[in-house]
Amino acid sequence: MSVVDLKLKEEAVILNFNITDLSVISRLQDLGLFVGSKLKLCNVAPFGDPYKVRINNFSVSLKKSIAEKIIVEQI
Amino acid sequence: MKIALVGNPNSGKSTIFSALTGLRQRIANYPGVTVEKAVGFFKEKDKQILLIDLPGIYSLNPYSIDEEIAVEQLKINKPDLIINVIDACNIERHLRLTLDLIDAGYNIVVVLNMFDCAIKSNLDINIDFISDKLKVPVIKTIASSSSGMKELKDFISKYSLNGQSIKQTKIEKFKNNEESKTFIEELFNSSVTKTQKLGKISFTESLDNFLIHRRYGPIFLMLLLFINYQFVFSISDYPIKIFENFFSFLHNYFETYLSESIFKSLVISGLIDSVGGILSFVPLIFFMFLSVSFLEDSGYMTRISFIMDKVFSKFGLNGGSVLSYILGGGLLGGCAVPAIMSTRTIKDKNEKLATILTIPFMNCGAKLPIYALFISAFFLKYKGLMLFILTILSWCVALIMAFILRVTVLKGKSTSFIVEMPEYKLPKLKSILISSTLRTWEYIKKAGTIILLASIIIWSTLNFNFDGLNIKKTNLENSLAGTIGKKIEFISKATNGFNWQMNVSLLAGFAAKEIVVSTLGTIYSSDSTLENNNLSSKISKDPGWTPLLAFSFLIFIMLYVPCVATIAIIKKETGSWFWTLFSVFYTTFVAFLASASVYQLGTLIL
Repeated sequence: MSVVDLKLKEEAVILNFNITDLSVISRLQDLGLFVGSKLKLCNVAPFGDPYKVRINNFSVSLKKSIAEKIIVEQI
Repeated sequence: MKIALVGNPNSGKSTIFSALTGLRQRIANYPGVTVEKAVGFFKEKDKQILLIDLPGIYSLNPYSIDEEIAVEQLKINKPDLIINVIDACNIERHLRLTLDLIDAGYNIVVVLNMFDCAIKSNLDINIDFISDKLKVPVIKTIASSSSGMKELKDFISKYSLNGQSIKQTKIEKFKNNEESKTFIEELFNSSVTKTQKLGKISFTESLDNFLIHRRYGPIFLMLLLFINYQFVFSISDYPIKIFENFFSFLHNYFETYLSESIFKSLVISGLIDSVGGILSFVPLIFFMFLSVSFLEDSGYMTRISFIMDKVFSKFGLNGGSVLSYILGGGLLGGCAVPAIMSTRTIKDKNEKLATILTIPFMNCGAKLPIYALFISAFFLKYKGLMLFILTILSWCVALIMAFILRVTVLKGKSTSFIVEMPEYKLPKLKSILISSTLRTWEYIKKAGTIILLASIIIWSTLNFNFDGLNIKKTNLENSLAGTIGKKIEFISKATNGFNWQMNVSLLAGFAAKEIVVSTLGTIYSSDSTLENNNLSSKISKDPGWTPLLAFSFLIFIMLYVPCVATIAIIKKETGSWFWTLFSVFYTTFVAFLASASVYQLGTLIL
């Protein structure tokens, strides 16, 4: 499952990134999203895109096209 | 000695910059406000120190253009010392940049900022341990209350005396992100202890559950924008009247005490009526900037782009474009120049270009005096509604044009939007007052320089004409501007209903849109058939104007050619004469089409 399959307020661990563009992966890592990081899906924007997730003490906004490539496992 | 401030966006870099140099500058809550590097000087024990504040970055791998600028500046400037500002509440993430900087061989001092936040969150941070492990000095500060600044200054002065000769011993390099992540994790776990479990749901989270809620979010956004309009317009109403009275006092004073001459005409029509007309709107501009600064500093601005991103991507733009539109006057009364500068946060070249080319359609502060003039002349009863219609129209035109550009000359897929959403905070009154004062001051300076100069040139073209090779004084009709206005009248009259006086004021508006008002002022003040009244009542009494004509005139003004200052910044940002000239011609063409169709349709129906 990916971030978009999570229900609101559900927490999950990142299993891997289904992304080929290395600059996108390194951007995600810069913002604290690593394989193994814990995240929580907080909000989905009014028109269904983007997604807001929370990691530790901060929030990151992700486009749906990215969010659906972040493979997670619910905890 | 050269020192650079480096850190993540929203780490409080700019506050530290101000605290060290005393030179205040803009601090805001979304990435990319410090796009221009800020430079300041200060003295420490007789040593002159140059401090550079760079745009916020997350690592040394830049993702957007302003991050690229920051990384490049570091390479070019080779600072003697880097002050690496990190957020004490988010050490884990912020340390990534620290490791990057150490890896790249820079001499750094880590500033653990917002220490009050860490204390509030019950984080116990072992500073000595971090300093030991990283082999760099660490200082804790609370920049917003200047705590820790003395320690930082002491460190800098000590460093400037003997530190430069000492090479810092470096920790070993990391092979990849994963390896550095493990290092940080270990460091974090052994240096930071949470004495108490954090509250599960933070303040920001619970506020966001409402403010960016799928249903309530957009409703709240609309409501907020509406209240914002009401607030800005009603609060600035009275001060504008005071300013207007002051300039009409000056007008009357010189009218009475100067003897009839060309000099009198220059002072009254060329200076007081034109520049005064613009300065009267300073209170409105100020309160508009105040509300924008409030939205920026509170963290709500990034939420606006979160809410609007989906809609914008349909038009080939991204969420970041919303910010640029709003700065450009999307909520009435911004300025295209800072708006175009803010597009540096947009990564994709075509999305950025499409945003730049459509920002000038927004209702910037310079268009407001014109709207105000015609609304009070023709639509006084529908004041709020008219402003609302004009706002909606400008967004529609901008989005449609962006879409057309993105499927024709600027084809390409839209990019991924990955940004940090800062925590909400109550903006500091002092900081939003300073930033709105600075922005208003820019507006006043423009009135005193470009607009003053343009007013004098335009006053000359309204009073003089070439007689062979000589220049002679003429009346308005036979003046240089009058002649041009008349030559194109036969087209403009048929398509848009504009007479030559309107053409003249539109030509004048090329220098800056406000000048349309002052030119109309000049035209009507040299018209002796009308009594000495204020401009809007003069216009409403002129049989040449109808409400329909006024509306199509406003549409033209809203859309046509960007002002001189905007053209200059478009050239600077796009680096291309083609796109600069393109922006001049296509906007005017769109303005012509839109205004002509409003006029023609209106004439058919009415």
